Amino acid sequence: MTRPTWLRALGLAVAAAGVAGLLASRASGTPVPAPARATIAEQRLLTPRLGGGTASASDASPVELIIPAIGVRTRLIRLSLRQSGALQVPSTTTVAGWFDDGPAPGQPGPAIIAGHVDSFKGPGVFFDLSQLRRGDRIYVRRSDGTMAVFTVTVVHLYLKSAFPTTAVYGPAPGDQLRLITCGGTFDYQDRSYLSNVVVYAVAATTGPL
Amino acid sequence: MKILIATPLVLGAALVTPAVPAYASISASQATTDGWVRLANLSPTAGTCDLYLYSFGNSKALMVLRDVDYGRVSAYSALPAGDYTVTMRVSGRPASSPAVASTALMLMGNMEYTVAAMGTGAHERFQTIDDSSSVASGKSAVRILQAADTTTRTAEIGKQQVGSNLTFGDITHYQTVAAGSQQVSVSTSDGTASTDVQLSPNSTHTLVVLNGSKGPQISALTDAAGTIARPSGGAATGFGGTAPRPLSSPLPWLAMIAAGAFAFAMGRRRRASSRSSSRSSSR
Repeated sequence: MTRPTWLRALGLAVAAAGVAGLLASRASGTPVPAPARATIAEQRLLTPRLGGGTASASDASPVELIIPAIGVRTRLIRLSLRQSGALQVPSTTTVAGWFDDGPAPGQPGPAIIAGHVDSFKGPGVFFDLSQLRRGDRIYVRRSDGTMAVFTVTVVHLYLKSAFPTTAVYGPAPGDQLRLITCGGTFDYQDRSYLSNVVVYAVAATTGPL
Repeated sequence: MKILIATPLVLGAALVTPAVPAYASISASQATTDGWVRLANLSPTAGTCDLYLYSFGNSKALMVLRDVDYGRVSAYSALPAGDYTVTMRVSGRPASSPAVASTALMLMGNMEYTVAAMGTGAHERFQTIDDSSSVASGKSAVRILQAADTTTRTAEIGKQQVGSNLTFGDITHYQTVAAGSQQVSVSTSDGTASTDVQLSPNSTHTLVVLNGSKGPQISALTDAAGTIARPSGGAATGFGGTAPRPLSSPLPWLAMIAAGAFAFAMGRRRRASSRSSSRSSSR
């Protein structure tokens, strides 16, 4: 092979690699398949029996969270406040945590559960939280074996810079549940999401005090 | 008190509101605003009753509370803002039987109400009470509802007086008290009563004075409760592993294409020039 032919081939190869690299860099991030919504049969399987339809009030602490609609089943760890005053979050992205300086699920007021939407590598336990819709059921199993059952009322996306702490953490009637994760735009400079997704849910059963 | 939910209430609410995808409710902010209501039998003369809740103009009840004794108060239910009817019937009578009393409820979003049967003797009626969830940070807010047909001369929490000269149907404003374990005491025309209540920080309560079997009786209700500590701001619950990558600079790739194109062009030129020089040398 003469030198000019060799140079031409190299030139073509480099240019082609450049085009390929340019195209690859323009393509969006790896798409992550969303888990399929639980089938009706699964939901029925997960639906606990509720003794006599009475109020499920209990002082027991929550140990497991089950959301059939988005295929979530996780144990719950305990969360408190960070030194900064912000809500502590689980140190691993695969479990959710309950904020124990507030109501437990099934007690009056908003029970707070937080979980990660993703890790550095891929989806976290609350990756599909924003897919929940009004009427979806949420189950919280407690240490005494009882189950608190909630129904989603609304899902909100809030900028963290304008997070409504009163609406989320403030006094509220009835037994309520708030599920919190991240959402919106990811700020690569601060390495954090700019928004939070908050799922509001209320006790699915009503009963005498 | 037995409870029978004709249609699970919140499910009923979900049916009333067309299901919207989560992303829609996220972008469209609050598609539906819920309000809160609890039903009560606070009528010392009505006896055990059945309480019905209807969407206004609909003859099928959303909720039926059966065998509600005097003094019983239901848990709160979330309902979409709108018009409702609450009806009381003698316990065990069919839904088609005439109502003992009935009232319309205009339910506003983000508001909470107690709809209580509060009649006397021949005149049974409902009273709709606005409940409140607002309280000074770290404190409790408490009010007194007189549902005994006596007169409460004084009502105290600890040593703080929270009501005086209350007659049947009277309700005081909420008053700020210290959170924690507190003793509530009432002195009425029918005797005195006292009880310990647990008031968690950031909670509101209604203390109901009832006719007891021997003198007055106090029933403590929680109207609203918040978290004990309030986290500041939102939560750091993501590391960006599923976020769209930011677009990197295209310059290195463009430079690579340019270099390749340059090398290709050089190769052509060299070949062309070597071809012409070989042609000339053969001549």
